[in-house]
Amino acid sequence: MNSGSVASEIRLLAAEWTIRANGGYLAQACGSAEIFATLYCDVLDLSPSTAPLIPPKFESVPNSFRNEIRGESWLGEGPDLFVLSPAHYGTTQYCALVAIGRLDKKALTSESGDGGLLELIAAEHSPGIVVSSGSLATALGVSVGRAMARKIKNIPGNIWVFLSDGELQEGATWESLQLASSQRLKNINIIVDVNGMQVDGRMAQLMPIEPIVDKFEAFGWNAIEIDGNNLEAIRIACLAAKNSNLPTAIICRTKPWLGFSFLKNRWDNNKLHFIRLTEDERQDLISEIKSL
Amino acid sequence: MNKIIVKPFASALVKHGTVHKNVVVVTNDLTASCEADEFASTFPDRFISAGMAEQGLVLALSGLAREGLIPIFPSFAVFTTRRPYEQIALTIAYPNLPVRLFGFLPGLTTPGGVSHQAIDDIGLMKQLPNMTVIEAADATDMETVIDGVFDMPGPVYMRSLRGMVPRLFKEPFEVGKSREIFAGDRVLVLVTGALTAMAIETVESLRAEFNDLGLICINTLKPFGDQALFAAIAKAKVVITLENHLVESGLASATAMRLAKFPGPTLVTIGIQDTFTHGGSYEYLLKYYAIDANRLKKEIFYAYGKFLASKDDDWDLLAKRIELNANVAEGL
Ligand SMILES: Cc1ncc(C[n+]2csc(CCOP(=O)(O)OP(=O)(O)O)c2C)c(N)n1
Ligand SMILES: [Mg+2]
Repeated sequence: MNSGSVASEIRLLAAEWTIRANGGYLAQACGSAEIFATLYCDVLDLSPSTAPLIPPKFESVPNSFRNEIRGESWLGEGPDLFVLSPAHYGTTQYCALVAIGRLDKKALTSESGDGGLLELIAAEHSPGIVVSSGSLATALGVSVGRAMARKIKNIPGNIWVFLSDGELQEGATWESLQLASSQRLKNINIIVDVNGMQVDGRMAQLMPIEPIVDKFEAFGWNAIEIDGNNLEAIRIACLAAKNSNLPTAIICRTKPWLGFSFLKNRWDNNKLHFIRLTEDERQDLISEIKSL
Repeated sequence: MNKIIVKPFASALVKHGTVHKNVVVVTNDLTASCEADEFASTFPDRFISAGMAEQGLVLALSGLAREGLIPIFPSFAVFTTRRPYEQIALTIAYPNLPVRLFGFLPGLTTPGGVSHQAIDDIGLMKQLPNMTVIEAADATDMETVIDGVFDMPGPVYMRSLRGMVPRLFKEPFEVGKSREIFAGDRVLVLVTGALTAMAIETVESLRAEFNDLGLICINTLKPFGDQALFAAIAKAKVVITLENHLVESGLASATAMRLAKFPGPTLVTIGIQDTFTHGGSYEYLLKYYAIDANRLKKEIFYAYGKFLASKDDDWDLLAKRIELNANVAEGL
């Protein structure tokens, strides 16, 4: 698989989703398409999916009577594990799974409505989702626990956790980081999508989180800062992370407006977090997709 | 059709801030989403953007209140109550500080799934000593609740509605005062919150058949009940509670406590029954978790000793496209 074409496919599928659903988390997909593409094509060591290409219908929430399908099944059985923390990036994950052939494209339509598992805010029955973490800054701590367990049990493989920059505002994130480094975990790495935005607008204006690299280092992590829309830079950083003796955080500076021109206007107006298309934007997007 | 009011809380908050100079609003990156944007632009000096960091935010509310201010924290109910629970318990409820907590996206009203559906917020807040717990049922409640609780010395949690909210009531909100919608003393329906409009419609449609069928809307869950409510409960043969919350800790539980002390009518509880929930459209979820109009109708018929024949029809709802919440910016 070629990471460049996977990244383009993710953008396209996410745009089609947004048009179809009359709304969506498109900027998240556009900013992180290269990260997902590189992880799946060049970094993660995953065995084949054990889940069907078209997910089953919703059965029940986790309880003692039913054995609901686990979103993790789409990622196979290791040795690596990819954990998406910000659950509103669920669409990006679904589109990435389609782009790499672990999910049928039809599922994006047929399974994103009532009774389907492709929830807008992903849960752990949604394809490719390991922890229900729509309450942000939840999945990293769970992943640290899994990494510690794997260390105790001597299980090979790395856990890669995808974080959004907004999650760096939560105290829970820093508690989890301190636990991982205090345990000298080598089997967990983080990729942060630093797109500079949150719901209300620009993070720099609302609640600055810089200097991110210094903060990670101060918490005992190895930190690598890169252009998060550059496939080669991501690949090289992930390689360095694998070879590091410390848990590593890859700080990806991304452009969430990349791919479709109306997104840049939205960025300028601080209205990029959730996209509900205006009629003009809709027409623009449709014609841009056609010319791809 | 009920008249729809757009963003009733937004303007109420600005008016409130204009009169009361000691009010400050603090948000966790959900400012416009929780209708605090007008306040933020009108009173930038009394608005604090605290970032997505609810635990520290709530501790700061305690500090603001200890310096004599009245802090208001509007967020999604799960982030208002569940995430910073201990901080609320020990630094706001325990010292009995005048903090106003607003929780939007109650229960199944959001397609956002388990992380965004507050199905236990009323229970979490209700069990805290010193906390007053309110649930808004309409636009009038959202416009008047903030003024209505201003004089209360302790903390208040308000389960809230946003976006396009129907107007059901003319009288302003008053703490503790239940709203009798239909008098009727044989079968009594008690409802809270967003389900009230549906309950009014359903009960109204059945009043020709059952003329002693009553309906009361309860907006103060704690302290529970006024004299009018207690009198109505005492007269009824069957009380049906209807809520968009876990029955274990919401309206049903408050009613059950009352009935345990003053036994009388049989209690029928409609609400979420000891289960977590999943994402989907409001209509679909109400049906899936059996708290829709059909269920209410059936329970009313049963209460009168009758059976409502209804083909369990519209499961074709399934797999229909989820309508994103059209009234609000982020579709949740
Ligand atoms: C604990 C918690 N608080 C608040 C929210 C509401 N929320 C959802 S996304 C988001 C923004 C967080 O920033 P980021 O993930 O960087 O957003 P994006 O880049 O996608 O705009 C917020 C505050 C949440 N999901 N979880
Ligand atoms: Mg961000």
